[in-house]
Amino acid sequence: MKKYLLMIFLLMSASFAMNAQIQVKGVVTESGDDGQPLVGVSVIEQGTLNGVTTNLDGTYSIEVKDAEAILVFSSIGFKTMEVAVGDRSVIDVAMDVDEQLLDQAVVMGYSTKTKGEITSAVTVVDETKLKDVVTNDLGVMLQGKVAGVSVINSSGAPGAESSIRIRGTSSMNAPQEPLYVVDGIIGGEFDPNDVESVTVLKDAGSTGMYGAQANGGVIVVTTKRAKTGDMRFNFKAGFSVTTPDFSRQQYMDAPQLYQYYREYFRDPDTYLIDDLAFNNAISRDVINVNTDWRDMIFRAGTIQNYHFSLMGNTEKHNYYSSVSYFDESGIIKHSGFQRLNVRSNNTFKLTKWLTLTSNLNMTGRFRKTVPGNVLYYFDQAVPFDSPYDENGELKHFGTATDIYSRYKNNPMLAFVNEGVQSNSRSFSLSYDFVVDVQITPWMSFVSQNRISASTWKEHYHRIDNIETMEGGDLVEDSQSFNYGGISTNMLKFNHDWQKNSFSALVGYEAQRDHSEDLAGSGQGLPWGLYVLDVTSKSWTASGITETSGMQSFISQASYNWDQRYFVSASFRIDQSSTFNAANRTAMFPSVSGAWMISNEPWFKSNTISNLKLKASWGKTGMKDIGASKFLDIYAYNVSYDGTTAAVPVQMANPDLKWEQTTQFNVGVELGVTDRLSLDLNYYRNKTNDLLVNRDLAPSVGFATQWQNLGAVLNTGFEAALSVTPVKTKDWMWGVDFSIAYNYNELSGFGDTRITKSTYEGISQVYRDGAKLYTWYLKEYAGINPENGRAQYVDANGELTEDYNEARFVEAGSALAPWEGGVSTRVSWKNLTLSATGNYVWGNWLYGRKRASSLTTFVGNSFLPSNEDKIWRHPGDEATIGLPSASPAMLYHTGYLVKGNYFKIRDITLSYTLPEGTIPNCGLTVSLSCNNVATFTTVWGADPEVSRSDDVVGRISDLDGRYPNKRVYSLQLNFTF
Amino acid sequence: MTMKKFIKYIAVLASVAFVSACNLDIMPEDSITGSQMAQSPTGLADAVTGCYQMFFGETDDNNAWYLRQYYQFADFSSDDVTYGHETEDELNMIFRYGERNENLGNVKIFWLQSYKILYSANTALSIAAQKTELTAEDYYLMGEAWFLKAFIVHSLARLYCEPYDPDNAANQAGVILRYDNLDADNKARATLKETYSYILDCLKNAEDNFKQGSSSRSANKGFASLAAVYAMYTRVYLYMSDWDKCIEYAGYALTESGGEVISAAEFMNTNNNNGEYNDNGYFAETYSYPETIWCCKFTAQDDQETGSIASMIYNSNGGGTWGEEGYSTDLLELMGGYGTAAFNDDVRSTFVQAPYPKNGLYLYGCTKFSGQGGDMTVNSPALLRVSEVYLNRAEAYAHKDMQTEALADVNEIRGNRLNPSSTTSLDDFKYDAADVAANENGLLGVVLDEKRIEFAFEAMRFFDLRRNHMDIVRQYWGFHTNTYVNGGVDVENTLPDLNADGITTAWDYNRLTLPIPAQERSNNPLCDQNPGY
Repeated sequence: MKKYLLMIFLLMSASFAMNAQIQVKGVVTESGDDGQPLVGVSVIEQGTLNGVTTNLDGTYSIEVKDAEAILVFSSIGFKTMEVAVGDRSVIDVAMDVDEQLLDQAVVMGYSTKTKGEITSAVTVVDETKLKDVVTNDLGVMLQGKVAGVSVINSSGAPGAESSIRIRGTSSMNAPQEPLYVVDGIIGGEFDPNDVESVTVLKDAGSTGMYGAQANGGVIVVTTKRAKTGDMRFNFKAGFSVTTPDFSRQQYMDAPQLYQYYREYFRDPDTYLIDDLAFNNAISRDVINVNTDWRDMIFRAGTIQNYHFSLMGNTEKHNYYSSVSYFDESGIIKHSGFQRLNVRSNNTFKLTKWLTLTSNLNMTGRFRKTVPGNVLYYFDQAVPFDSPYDENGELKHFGTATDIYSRYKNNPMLAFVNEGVQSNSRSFSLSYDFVVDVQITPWMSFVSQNRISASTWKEHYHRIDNIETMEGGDLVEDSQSFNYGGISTNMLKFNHDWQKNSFSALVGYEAQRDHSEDLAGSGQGLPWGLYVLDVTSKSWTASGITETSGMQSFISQASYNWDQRYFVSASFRIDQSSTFNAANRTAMFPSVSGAWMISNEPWFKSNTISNLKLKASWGKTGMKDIGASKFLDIYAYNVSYDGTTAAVPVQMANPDLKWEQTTQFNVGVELGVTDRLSLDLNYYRNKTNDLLVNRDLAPSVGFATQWQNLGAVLNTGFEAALSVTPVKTKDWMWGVDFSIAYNYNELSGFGDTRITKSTYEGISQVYRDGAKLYTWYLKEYAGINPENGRAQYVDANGELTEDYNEARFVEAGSALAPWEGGVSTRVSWKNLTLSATGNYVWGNWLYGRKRASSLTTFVGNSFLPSNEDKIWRHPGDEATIGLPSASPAMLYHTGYLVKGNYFKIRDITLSYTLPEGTIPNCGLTVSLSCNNVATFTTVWGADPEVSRSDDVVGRISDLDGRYPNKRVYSLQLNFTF
Repeated sequence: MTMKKFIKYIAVLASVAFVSACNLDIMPEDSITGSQMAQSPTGLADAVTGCYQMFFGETDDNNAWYLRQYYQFADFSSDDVTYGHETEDELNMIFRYGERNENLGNVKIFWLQSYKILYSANTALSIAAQKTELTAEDYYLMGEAWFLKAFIVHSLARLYCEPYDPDNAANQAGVILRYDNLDADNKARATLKETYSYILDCLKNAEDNFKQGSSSRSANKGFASLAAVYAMYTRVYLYMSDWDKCIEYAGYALTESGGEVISAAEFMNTNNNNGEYNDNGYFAETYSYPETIWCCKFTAQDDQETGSIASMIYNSNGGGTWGEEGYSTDLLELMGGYGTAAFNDDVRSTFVQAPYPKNGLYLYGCTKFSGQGGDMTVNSPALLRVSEVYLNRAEAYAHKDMQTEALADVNEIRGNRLNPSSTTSLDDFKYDAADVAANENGLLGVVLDEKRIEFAFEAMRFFDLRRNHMDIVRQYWGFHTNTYVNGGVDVENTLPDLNADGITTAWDYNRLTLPIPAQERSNNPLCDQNPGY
């Protein structure tokens, strides 16, 4: 409140200064032929606090004290002008674009700056670079385009979302996804077609303003707004065909598997194949069955997307409205995704000092997926089996004879008709209301508010014949209703005098979210019906509600002198309901500065257009581990024989507190004419008090507990180079290249050594000095050439064939140290060809699919790679051991593979109709292919592995993952 | 709007926002904290009832629950069960002792759930300790809590510790004891002597509290009772080789429970002709017969389906269960050989499923864990039965060479196990001195054989063998034989190698004792591993 009082005081003194005599008015336009009027230019009487801003038509009117007065015209992206009033009463001004300032306005969330004013590591991806990919996902649009931003698409399922990491991984259990800020307000939804620009905030110099929510970095999304006065219509349509992209995963056909299978009958002592037993076990006829299971359900998918928008700008009203429809049928039968999005952005310039913004976004989604574990069973079915009997009817493997697949369920039963599916529907709505009051030319009050509500329903279907359960198919429906709000109220200050430029903001933010879930299930469906209310038995019901809240104080101040020396600082205090009252408050300071060397008077260069040094330091935090993790909790969502029961589910930890990252960044920006720009950054981020869902000794009664433990250091550099080697009247060729190196190390664990394991026992270790996600597995030493048995290294470093004797070793990390992207763009007249690729290098993945070892049964039909060799006789150097001596379920370092890859993400050819061909109309046609090719060291699976698994970096053969897809599309963009 | 008004507006707005969002003390709505439990009038009852729920409450998936491991660890380690189909489920390593290791999920889940139940029972007792005045109901609930502690600790000890050696128990490793929830996190294992003495302390506390208390819960066999305490005493004393105490407490247990062994007609599976489970016999309704002293009460909602106990041992012939294990040929031979007159005379043969082909051989499934509510995979497992008390006492008598008393107790069971449709006389069916003479292990052999048949698939045999220093002889076909060559040839009617060697395992082979889970040892350095791992 003190701050407010101070502001009020300042405000009062300002109004006393308004005591003027000469009236001056005029129009401010942009210099050049068009001479568009400039809105919002600040016009200030030099040396005073007296000032106004220009209206929508560029006009202004100001009273100055006398003819000696000098008017200072300034606006972001333009050279500041000083004009002496003299005896004139009308002063029209044409302002020049300030190229040195790199005029681009960068939306930083709470504030907007010019690119020149930026003192921290920030990357802007504008519309032209975003729109070349046909997708409904922002992550895919960003892939390979921002240094230090790692995007993974582990699924090609319609509507699947990618996972984004900014500057490595800094947490063990807390979420790592960046914070999204849409149109200046935390959270929110948007259609990628409505996006004007994306700003990625990478260091604390800019993310510090978001405090407790910004450990994963911040992605600021700005939706479109009209730029010109005329009403414009835009219509985009896209048509795509999609095909599955299996990367290097191949299955054996029946003759191959038949030969492979024969190896199971090699005697462990004589090394001879017992063909009698083999022929007894399997008839040669299976070769003729030769079912291609994958082929049964995969298909060419299609995507259609339409986007229609209209925008315009009048004196009082700036509007943008759009409606879009996206419809994808997946590469697996019966899977699909539809999305309808409506957006309406309106800004009303009510008076000179009052602007209201009202934005509405509505999204409806409908997603269909293949039920249950069906994909896993397709993965495991062998080509010896046919899903159909002699009459062409689907057969039930449970009762059929001569089934070789290890699971006795025919996954094709899931594709009998479209009624058998899992699906989800959701509807969400968000409404932003922003009040911007220009109190004085240098002070404004901004209140940004958003209310949002969403509801979704999921329908899950399990087929009894596939899931080996009794009592008929199971249907589970769950429904969720969420609502919340956020309100940010700020006073913003902006004042320039002489060569000084100062801006600041101070405010209060509050947010609260509430969710209510309800779920029910039932079993036994009548013929032809698939909904919950027709089930006949085994009903269950459950429901849960959750509320979370946070309040914050925010402040920021920036100053620059003569566009040469920049300094900026922010301070935020957050209080969250996640923690105990005593640990609830956290403070997040940041400072940053920059020196624009190229603006120094002594710096004379015709080639170097921009040279800037920048540095920042600050703190960010993380709290999103879910509600009430510090409490000891007894859950009542169970019962025993109809009697109320409570079971302990969580052990108390009243000391649980924020995970905090201290970040440091230094960088250099270099621009050589308009042909080359280079952005180099070095960073060092240390996250302390990691929020760890730590394994406990189970004898305390709990397997895990949330604790603050240890620290993780992420340090590295990023380089982004943009070159335009050719730029002539007709030709343009540009190349963008980015590379990021990240070194990761854990510390502060002391004597503690934590291992996290999957249910099967694939584990990763956390200890001082180790990298995050370091594999911790039994040490494998290859196949013994003498007897075909797997060998391990025991505690004494000796070879052993006893898996139990094998020692655990640390073996590489699943985190990639090197990542980057490359993109290029060639245009000739109106024809443009562009391509984007990204690469990952240096990580280790755990992949049991690679060397599908022969265990004691036919597990699957994965094709071994060319490097794999089966052991047959003493002396063979082999990678696959004798099957009869290879127990199932052994987990060791032998399954680790390098995760390197390079993917050509996208190739696009587009043609824009020359201006004026059709009056007032513009048309662009483009052809593109997305996910073009993958070059990787990983055999048997796509190297883009989900990061949400309990153990990260595992190429799971149990998840029945939906493969990625290749997309061929035709896009039309029509403006009139 | 004047400037002043506007400033007023900002100030009001800011203060409203501050106040409205200020409350950040948000509590969960479906659960309560420990201190709230102590305030809640039903906290004690809810915590105690919650302990039972954790006998079947899932943890990670529908395979990972307490009772499934309770039965599988015991029965699949014994000579009663044929491992008929290779699986990736970790139950594989129960059969294959040599492949057991400290990283197994099932070994961890049982350990974890045991201690979670102990934590909950300790919570209940601490809630009671905070009460200023205890009602009869409170005493009854405390009795249950103490009983549960005894049962859980003993069940841990029989799996994770060597058999109790009365002469050397002070040097044998026991389990980690959790006296209350204030116990330090890291704690060493007690000795086996301390462990058993703590089990007896818990039983004594249970006994005292039950005697002071009363509750309507006593009508429900799903809750523990004084009879359960006495029955548990007989089991614990038997495992301690304290024959006199076992005999003494068997008397109390029989008195308190009524001592009625279920009759043959009620016990048998009357639906066996087609190899299916019965939906109204004893095992379909364990909770409604006096034979049951204590069971874990399942409802239809608690159906674990393919993760159920029945799933692995019952062949549904149409999906819904895995049906990969069955009666061992040894056990069937002990029962007279499948299908013989002697076999059919015994009602316990009606729990044997008709043979079904599996991997070229025939498996004989078990119907004991099916049938409740007509559901194939639902049953309320009887954890303490009257018959066990008789057979525990019979074994104690046998060790004391009291043949008459021992045979009387065995015949208490056999007198109720002759198939009503049989032509054999009940007297012939009962055992006498001639049967003792004919048994290679004499009187003890007679008792153990009877217990093997009576409690097949009920988690007894494995411990009975080890306690009595008898080797585990599995000289029969199955995937427990590591050397089996032909692999899991999933072809019906193809004969696997019937001549594959079986396995005989010495009773003191150290991998018969489960390993302490790796997660315990990596987080609790004070805890020692069992030898052999």
